[in-house]
Amino acid sequence: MDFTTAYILLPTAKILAVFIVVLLTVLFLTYAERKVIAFMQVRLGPMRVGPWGLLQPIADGLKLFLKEDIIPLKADKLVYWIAPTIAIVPAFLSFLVVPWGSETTLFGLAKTPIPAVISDLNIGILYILAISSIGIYGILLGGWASNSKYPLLGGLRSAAQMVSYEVPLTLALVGPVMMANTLSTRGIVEAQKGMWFVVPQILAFLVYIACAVAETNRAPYDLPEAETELVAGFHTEYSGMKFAFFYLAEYANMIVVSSIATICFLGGWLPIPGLSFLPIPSFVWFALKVGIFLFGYLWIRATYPRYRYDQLMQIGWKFFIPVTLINIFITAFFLLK
Amino acid sequence: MEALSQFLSHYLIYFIMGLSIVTALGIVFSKNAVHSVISMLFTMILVAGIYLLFDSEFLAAVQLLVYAGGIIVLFLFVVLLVALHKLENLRLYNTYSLVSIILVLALIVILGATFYVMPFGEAPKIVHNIVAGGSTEAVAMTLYTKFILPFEIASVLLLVALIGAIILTKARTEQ
Repeated sequence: MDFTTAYILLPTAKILAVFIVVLLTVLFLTYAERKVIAFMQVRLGPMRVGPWGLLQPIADGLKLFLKEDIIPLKADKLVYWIAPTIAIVPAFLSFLVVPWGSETTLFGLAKTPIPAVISDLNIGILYILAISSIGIYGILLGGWASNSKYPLLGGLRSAAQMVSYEVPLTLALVGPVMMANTLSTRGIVEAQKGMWFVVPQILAFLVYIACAVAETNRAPYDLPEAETELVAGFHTEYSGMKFAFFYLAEYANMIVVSSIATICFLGGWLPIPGLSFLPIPSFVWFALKVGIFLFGYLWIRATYPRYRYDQLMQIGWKFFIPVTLINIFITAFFLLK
Repeated sequence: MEALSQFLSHYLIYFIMGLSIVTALGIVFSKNAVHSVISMLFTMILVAGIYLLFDSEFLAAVQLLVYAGGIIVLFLFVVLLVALHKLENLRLYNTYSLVSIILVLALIVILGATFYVMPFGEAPKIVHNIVAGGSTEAVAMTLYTKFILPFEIASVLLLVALIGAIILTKARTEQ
């Protein structure tokens, strides 16, 4: 492979492919959310724009793009500007280490199959955790810069919530990392060829799902934007494209979190045990598993009412963290035995 | 190809170092405390970048996770709860300009002289040459074998500080 192909052409193609797929998934995730919740509430959901309302997300995007961008008079202009950017950049950077399949030729661009991941860092999981911990600033600063009471309260709440839930989230991922003996995302998936980590790490898996919902500020843990008490929380004062950035960041984070769950617990791109004879490409398996998680998000949102704030903090510190610590002890015990 | 990437990373290091100095100055010179904290956040991220370019990818990730993701959030938390507009025109920190200018000049002279005289020698070898498998394993091996005792002592001390802080705040709220 010559220099231009290896270092410029292939990485660019991979980045573009991942970016476009993620963007499209985010767009249609908003559509799926409205549709799924509508069906669960015996409604039809969006039906007007395109067949079955399929063009609704594109219409929404266009509307947000053309909308007037209002900045509050007493807002801190600079911080108000950069907060949505800080929110969205880490969300998209996380996809750098998400392996979406075993190997790919990128539609014949590469002569020999290459790993289907933009960059297989040897600190993959740690990298995702480190990058996503920066996303908090977008929400916190956005809430502060608006110079308004509801955004500030929402921002403070979300900061406390995300910092608290980062701890059990990270500790839950320690179990799979210990079993795979590597931090690389590809390495973790390949270590699950015999058995998916969801079986021995069921405790960590359950805690991970609960914490992931809290970490992405989704219902029933969507206290930062609890509309009944805080209007819309941290993005009350935002409009137009800046609001769209926050919105995109939230949905991109949902996909990131689902991808990590798939990689660490559900065997990534590996087929379901016993079904490996089917001629299904690996990226379809990966998309399928991520899709199940995303559907779970919507299902949970349509089912459970919102938690109270002190309950949220209590369950995080007094239940999830001890459970994950116990899980680490159990894992270490069985690994050493 | 190898030469090109070395050339690039060489200049990237200087670029990132320069940028981190600019953001570090931003911490000091911002009038608004929130802007200071944001500058500090960017400084921390850039320092992680410097670690990365010296092949210490584990240290870079930990830097992001602990400093950029954890400690600065707490800073920001405290700063957000302070009434900033009351402090902005107070000249809190530069009331003794003359004394501080003399002190800073003296410090520059002393540090400059030390750096000038100091024989620095060869640059230390890159970490990943020691243990195959990257700096994560190298850090783990040294931390959990050679330096296990100081590491554990440090963790117990931190735990004591943690419990102490909780007890102090609890006693105050109960009064």
